[in-house]
Amino acid sequence: MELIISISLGLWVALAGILGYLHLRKEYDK
Amino acid sequence: MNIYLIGIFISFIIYLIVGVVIGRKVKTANDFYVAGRRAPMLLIVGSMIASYVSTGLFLGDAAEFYNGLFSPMMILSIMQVVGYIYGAIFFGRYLRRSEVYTIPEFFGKRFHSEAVRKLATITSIIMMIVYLLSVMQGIGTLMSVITGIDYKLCILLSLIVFVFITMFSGAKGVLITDTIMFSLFTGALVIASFLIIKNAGGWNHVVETVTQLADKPGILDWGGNTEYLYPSKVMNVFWGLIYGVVWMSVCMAGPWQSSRYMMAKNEHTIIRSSLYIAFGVFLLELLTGVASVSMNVYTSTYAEPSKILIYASMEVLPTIVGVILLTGVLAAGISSATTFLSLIGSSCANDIYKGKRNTITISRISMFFVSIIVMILAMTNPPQIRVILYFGGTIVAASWMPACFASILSKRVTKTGIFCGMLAGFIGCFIMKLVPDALGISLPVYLDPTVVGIALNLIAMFIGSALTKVTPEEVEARQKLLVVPESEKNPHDIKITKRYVRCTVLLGLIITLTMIFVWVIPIWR
Repeated sequence: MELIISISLGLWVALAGILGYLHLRKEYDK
Repeated sequence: MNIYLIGIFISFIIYLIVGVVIGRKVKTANDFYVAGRRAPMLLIVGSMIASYVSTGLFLGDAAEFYNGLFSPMMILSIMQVVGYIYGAIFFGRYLRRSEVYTIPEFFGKRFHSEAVRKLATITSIIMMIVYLLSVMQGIGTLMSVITGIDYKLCILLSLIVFVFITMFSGAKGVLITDTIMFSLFTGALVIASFLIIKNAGGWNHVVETVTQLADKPGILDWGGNTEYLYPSKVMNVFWGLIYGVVWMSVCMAGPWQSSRYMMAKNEHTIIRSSLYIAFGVFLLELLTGVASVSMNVYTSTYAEPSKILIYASMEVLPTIVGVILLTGVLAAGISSATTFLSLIGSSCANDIYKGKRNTITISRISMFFVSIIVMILAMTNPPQIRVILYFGGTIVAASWMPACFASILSKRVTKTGIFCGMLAGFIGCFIMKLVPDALGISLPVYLDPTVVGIALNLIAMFIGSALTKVTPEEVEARQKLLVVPESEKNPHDIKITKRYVRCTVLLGLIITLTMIFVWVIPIWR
């Protein structure tokens, strides 16, 4: 369970990076 | 005079000197409210972390870690750091782009509505006062414990320092003193946590010892100590998730956080800063966590857990490190207080007074009177630092967070929708907090004021927007916000900024690996 929590939290942060990147790319590449 | 008091007085004198030096360079309203919109990355990172890390981290969070909520607290902490990434990319850049002095002004401009601006002003000032009260009580408690001076006198002394810095030097002074204080408490915490763990026999020995504590079962388990907050592990984790959302909202939209974006020299600075801030806040929470857990090796039955790091500074650490740590903790409180007070002054002058002339004077006068009121509240009410702090965070999450994002991301949201949502979230969160307290009942964690407040906000926003039409002014205001300014279109800058955002994925990997090496592997052994 500890391992699942650690991986989930890392993925949670990575997801923010991916969504942020997609949003920025959309705006800058217009 | 004890050594801790000398350390504190020296730090106070340094802050005052810096305040005077910076204050002399403040010439215009732009300097006073938004530091001339020229702040580099270092000042944005330093000020945002310093505003986040009030005495709440060293007193409130340390107590939760010490009492056995390591896993729920780390869930909360890591969930919240994401707020900086979302806040910078989806809100902060647009805030700067709108060229306003306050966030209520942003709402008013975006929706062409004085009513929305007024409501945002009222909720913003209430949030700030709540936070300022918590921080003042934290500073008073801390100073009183370490110096032996009367609690009320400690509040008065610290108030003189932070009111002077804020009134005299405005946002520019706050940014610089915040960054100095950030360096102080970060350095102190790194050294102190290393020494606390080393003197306790190393981290592996700490883990081995604390996992066998009979009075704190499950202190490092995935669900934490079930004899402290909730009787089940699942409920403890759920608590971490709920407050993770609360603090993520604070980091995304809290006025004392997002207002820093208005001061950045450009939008690239905002985005790039967010990565360092996210990493910095994660690191500070982790260090506080491992240091507080390690204190159980020295004493697991300390009667006042919120003062466990004060105890560590005075009894466990070498005197000089203890002095630096306590001065750093106090700096964290003062840096937050300067930020809250400067925002209250800015809002009073720009959102309530709204005159064109003498706004800096109006701002200074309002700062003075508000600080006197909060000082009286802090002196006449018993210190409840964590409770008040969490309540302030709840108001941000319930009232502001959905409004901030809808104002950028939604084409259909109207001024009526935003107004109804903000109001419903604000009132809902107050009722859910005050009524159970008055009746002496405790609600299940899924009926936390935040959950109810955010749900009511979204429902009211949806209904309010569905019943009204988006006006041409609102369409125009939003479209204007979405246009990237020419000054931000340098291909080289864009390339570097995109690289920073991609590094957030790497930050996720670093966080997972850190948690595995610091937490998972040691407890599996």
